[in-house]
Amino acid sequence: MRSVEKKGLWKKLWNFRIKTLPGGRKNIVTAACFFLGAMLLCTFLSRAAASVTVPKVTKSKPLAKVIEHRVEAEGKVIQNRERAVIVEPDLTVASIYVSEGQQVEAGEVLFALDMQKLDEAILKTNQEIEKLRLANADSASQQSITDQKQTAALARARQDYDTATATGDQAVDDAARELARAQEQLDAFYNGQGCDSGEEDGTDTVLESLQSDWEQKRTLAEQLQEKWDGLSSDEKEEQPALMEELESARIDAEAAEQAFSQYEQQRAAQENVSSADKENALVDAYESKKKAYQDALNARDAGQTAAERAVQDAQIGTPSDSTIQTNEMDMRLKQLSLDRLQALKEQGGKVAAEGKGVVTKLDLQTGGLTTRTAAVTMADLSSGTRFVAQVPGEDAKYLSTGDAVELTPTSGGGKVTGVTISSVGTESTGGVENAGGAGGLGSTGNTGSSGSTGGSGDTGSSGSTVQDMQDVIVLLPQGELSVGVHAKLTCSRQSASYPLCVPVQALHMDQKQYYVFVLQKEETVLGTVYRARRADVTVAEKNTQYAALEAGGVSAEDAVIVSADREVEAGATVRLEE
Amino acid sequence: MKKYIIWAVLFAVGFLACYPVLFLTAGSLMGQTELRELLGPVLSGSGGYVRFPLMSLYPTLRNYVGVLMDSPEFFVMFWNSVKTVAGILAGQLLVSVPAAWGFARYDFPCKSALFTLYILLMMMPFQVTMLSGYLVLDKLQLLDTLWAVILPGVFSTFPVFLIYRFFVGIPQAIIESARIDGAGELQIFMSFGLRLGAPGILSAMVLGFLEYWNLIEQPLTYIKDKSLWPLSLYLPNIGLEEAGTAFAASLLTLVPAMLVFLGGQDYLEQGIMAAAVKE
Repeated sequence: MRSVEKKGLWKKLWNFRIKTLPGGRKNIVTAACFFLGAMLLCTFLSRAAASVTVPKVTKSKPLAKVIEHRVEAEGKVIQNRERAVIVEPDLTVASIYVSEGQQVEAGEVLFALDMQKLDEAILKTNQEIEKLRLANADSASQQSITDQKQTAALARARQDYDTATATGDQAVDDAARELARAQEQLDAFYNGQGCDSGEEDGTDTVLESLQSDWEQKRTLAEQLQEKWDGLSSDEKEEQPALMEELESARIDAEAAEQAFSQYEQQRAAQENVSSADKENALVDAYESKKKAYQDALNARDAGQTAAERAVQDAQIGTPSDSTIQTNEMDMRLKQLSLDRLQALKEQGGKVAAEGKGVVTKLDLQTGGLTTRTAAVTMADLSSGTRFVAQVPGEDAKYLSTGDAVELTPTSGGGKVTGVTISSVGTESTGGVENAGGAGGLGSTGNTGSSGSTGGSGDTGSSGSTVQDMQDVIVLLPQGELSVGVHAKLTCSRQSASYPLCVPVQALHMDQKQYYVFVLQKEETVLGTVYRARRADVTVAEKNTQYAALEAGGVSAEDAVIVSADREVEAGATVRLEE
Repeated sequence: MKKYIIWAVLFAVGFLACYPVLFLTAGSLMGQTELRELLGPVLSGSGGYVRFPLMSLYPTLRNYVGVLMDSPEFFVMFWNSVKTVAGILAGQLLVSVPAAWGFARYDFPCKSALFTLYILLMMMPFQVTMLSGYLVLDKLQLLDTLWAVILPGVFSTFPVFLIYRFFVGIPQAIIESARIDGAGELQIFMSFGLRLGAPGILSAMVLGFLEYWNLIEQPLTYIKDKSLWPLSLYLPNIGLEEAGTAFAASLLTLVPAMLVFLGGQDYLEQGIMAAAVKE
């Protein structure tokens, strides 16, 4: 492009005006109109979208109502009383005379037992009793022997103890004496060494004699010397023998002195040597005697301890042994069993019905063994009938004794009204009686069950779990509904009047907390809108239609959302259904 | 060379002035995640500083859809704004134009005093007259209605002043000659005043629109009913969750004002010029 044209373009841009656009100001007006039109359209669209997403709800205020609970259950009519016929177990059945459902009269034989087997059973029981008796005797004798052995052992142990003590003491005394003597010798030695040549023993007599000898000679020599000195020189010449005497005396004295000193030296040397040895010998002797004494003491103590222990061991008694008592208990039981078997034998092995009734259950087989449980169960016809139904624990809590019910037989026939519940759960108003059967046997079967032929498992709980089934019993008057008829029980029960009841659809649950949505008016830009506010509530009671709420969560003026066409969230906007 | 420098400086300043709108546009096209990441440091206390690129990484029209299709409240307020502004502008046409003509062409006792009073009122901010206005409206039982916003706007003194300047600029000679030709005062006003003073009137309208489209304090003070609030009060708490919607709504609020401005640009220029010319 040429620069002039370029300049022209820039100029145009610089001077840009709406006016220069084709149409000019009209364009703006048109644009503005379009804009307003678009806004209008979007207004409608946004409101349409909102109306689709906002849930439509129906509301209702909480009302005062009475909550009615209606419980229905299917059940059956059974007899009031049952009898159980029980016999000793492990007897063979020879023949059975009745069948289930058969009506029997009093005294009619129900079944018969095999006589041979019966006799064998009696024999076996007898033998068992005898065995127990013998076992008891053995036990008794064993016990006495054990006692005797124990006494003897104890006596011996005591003797050993005394002996050990005596010998031990003796040894200790001897050792002590030796030790004392050694001690004395050692002390004497030490004392002897300590003093000078003054007090010598008799062993120093040689020394003494030498010494005295030397002294004598010396004295003589001195005397002669004195004598010689006392003489004049003339006299000295006259007595040369004196001079000789003197000389010899002197020499003797010297010799004696020498001998004495020599002997003394010898003796000292000897003493030095032997005193060291002697000392060692004495010390050794003392030490060894001391050790011997100690050993003697230890030996005595050890000996005494051992002997003492032996005595204690001998005093430990024997463990208890209750075999005899146990056996006696067993013997008693076996005796009872034996009595029963004897009674059966007397009856010829036949078991008869005690009273009139219908056999409901037969737990026997011809040729089979009898068991611990009832052999024959009979319905006692003379005691009336009852209706039993099973109700889930949840519903059972709305039923209680005395509530009026209605029974409708499923196979048609008239309704039975005017009857009331006799018991709910496991309380029974008349348990199952167990007659002992013809043999008068003690009953070991179950007692006191609540008469349900179905038999629920729990006997103690009050239906706290949902799966619990509870028995509901209605005693029927004479003449109504016979045994075996199936019927439906209907019972309705009204609770107290609750001031705040809402339809059940209004209730929601969130982790075990019930809540409802309450309508709340709110001023927004769009005007007055309804919002759903969540209110947590506690449910006092509810049936399938209404739930009674406790005060606090909602009040009587609140409008509660009952139903919505889509899910409502807490705080969401809602609108009312037209 | 000088031209280019001037051009560059002007461009830079112009860009700075336009930046808020560009910011709004960019933000309105951004998705929620992106906005959360960018605005996190300011609005939710995460670490670092805010970054705001002018181009979105993953542009989306979700915000516009949210505002236009899913918020009836936006439209309620939009039409409230439209009603308010239309009412005020119509009222001003009826009230301020004759008032300005009167001040411009006629003399009457206390005219200068009254005019001074007008100027005084024009200068006073809303907060000063808020309480007295509230009491008067309360007495008139107009509170909590749209009239509480419209009527004070209608009797605003600013357009009087603006239009007066224009009417003053009309040569007396024309009026005189019209009078001589036997035209009545009303006729003179309608034929001469309105036509010759049209630029002034339109510029006053444009300025009035821009002012009243963005009213915040009057509605907040005088109207309690939320369904009567104008668009300027739409923007909800700009939490992190509604940032995108807020941007889109702001941009949509901007559009009418922009259209009006583009249409009345000429008149505005003329009005500013006229105000500058001293006669």
